[in-house]
Amino acid sequence: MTKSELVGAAYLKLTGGYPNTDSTTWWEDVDLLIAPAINYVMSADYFISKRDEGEEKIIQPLFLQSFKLPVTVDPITKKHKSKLPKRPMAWPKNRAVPFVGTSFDNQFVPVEQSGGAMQKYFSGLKKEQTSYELEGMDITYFNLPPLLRSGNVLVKMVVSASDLNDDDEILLPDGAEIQVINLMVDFFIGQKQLPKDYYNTNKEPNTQA
Amino acid sequence: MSALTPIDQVIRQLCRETGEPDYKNYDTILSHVRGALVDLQLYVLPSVKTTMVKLNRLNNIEWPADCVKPVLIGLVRNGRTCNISVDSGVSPALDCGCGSMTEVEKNIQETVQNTDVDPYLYYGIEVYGQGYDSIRACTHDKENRITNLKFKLLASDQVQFTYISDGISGGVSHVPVEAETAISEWVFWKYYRVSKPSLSDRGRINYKEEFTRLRKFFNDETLEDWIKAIRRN
Repeated sequence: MTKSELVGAAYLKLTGGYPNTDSTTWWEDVDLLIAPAINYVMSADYFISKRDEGEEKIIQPLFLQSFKLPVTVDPITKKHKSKLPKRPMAWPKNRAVPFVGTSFDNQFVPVEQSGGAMQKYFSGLKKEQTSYELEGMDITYFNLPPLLRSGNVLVKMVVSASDLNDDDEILLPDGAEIQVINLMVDFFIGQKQLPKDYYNTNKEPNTQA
Repeated sequence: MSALTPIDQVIRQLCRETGEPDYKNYDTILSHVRGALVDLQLYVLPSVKTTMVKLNRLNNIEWPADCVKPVLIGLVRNGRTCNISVDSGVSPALDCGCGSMTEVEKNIQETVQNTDVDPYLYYGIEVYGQGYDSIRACTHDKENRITNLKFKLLASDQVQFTYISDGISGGVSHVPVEAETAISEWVFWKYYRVSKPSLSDRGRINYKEEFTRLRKFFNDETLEDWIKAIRRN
């Protein structure tokens, strides 16, 4: 479904199937809150997947979107940088950005949080590696190959719904559209704060059942 | 199978095994692999390097940054080398064989003898095995990381410095295939120390086994032994 289709479906349900200009809730209200609802469902799905997969912290590849980013040079620090075109989901350890690299599967390695200071100690061991540090929307590269300095870097990420346009396709787990619509209705009619677990275990989605 | 594996491959594999298929813990694993290499290279796979060094104004040899311990110091004169310091761990087979001296070697010996150094310097296989700096041509100062020569060199002399390197200061791009399992076990030992102590303990025990196996592997000399050991992996 596209974003506007999802908003329309939620709006239709909110107005009891008869949308009209006298409704207390407007289309814009629903449009405003659809992004948090989508992000909530996506994050719940991520944490449920993480729990179910045990040790491995995987990202569903079907939710990924790819972008080619130009590399620029910071005029002061002379560091090579790129700017993300859209905001990724805020998941731990930047897991919403599982790939930064070239189109030929040369995957760069992430610098851990505040790990920029450690890079000088690793330089002998990372001679052939390109590292990147992601902070906010900025990517800073370490040891970027010369050929890439004027080229493009490929980034794959799970995009936060707050940056989506009306006609953008919403990537949701199959069947989760209903959860998003129900969440929207719950927001406005105030009968339930936030739903608990979709598995009906009456627990928060990100905790062990 | 190649004899060397890229260190990047080893680290990425370990990232995946520790549950991070997107390599989010790359630097942590890298620092543990570094620790494993230091441990293995100090005790099992010593990395021996040789370099030509210049003396400073105080007649000292300044150790290279990655030097853990000097092994041999050779005086090079007119294309011939004679050892003036030999570590006790070095096999006598590496002796320069100066039992029957050439003119050049006599020349060197005279230079050294003039400064009260052991006259058996170039005959002295028997002095091997008597400990560090057993031939007394120089003294090692571990604190200041220098070696002080007790005699004056000629202007044309060069000094060849052979030492055990920590194996990582100059950078590591590949690791020996036979050490991969030991490195993995070391990483599990260190990586899970806080979060999963039982797994960490298992890693420590396995590392000890791998360490012993690796040491045996390097002590075996026949080709068959090496092939058997590789196949056991």
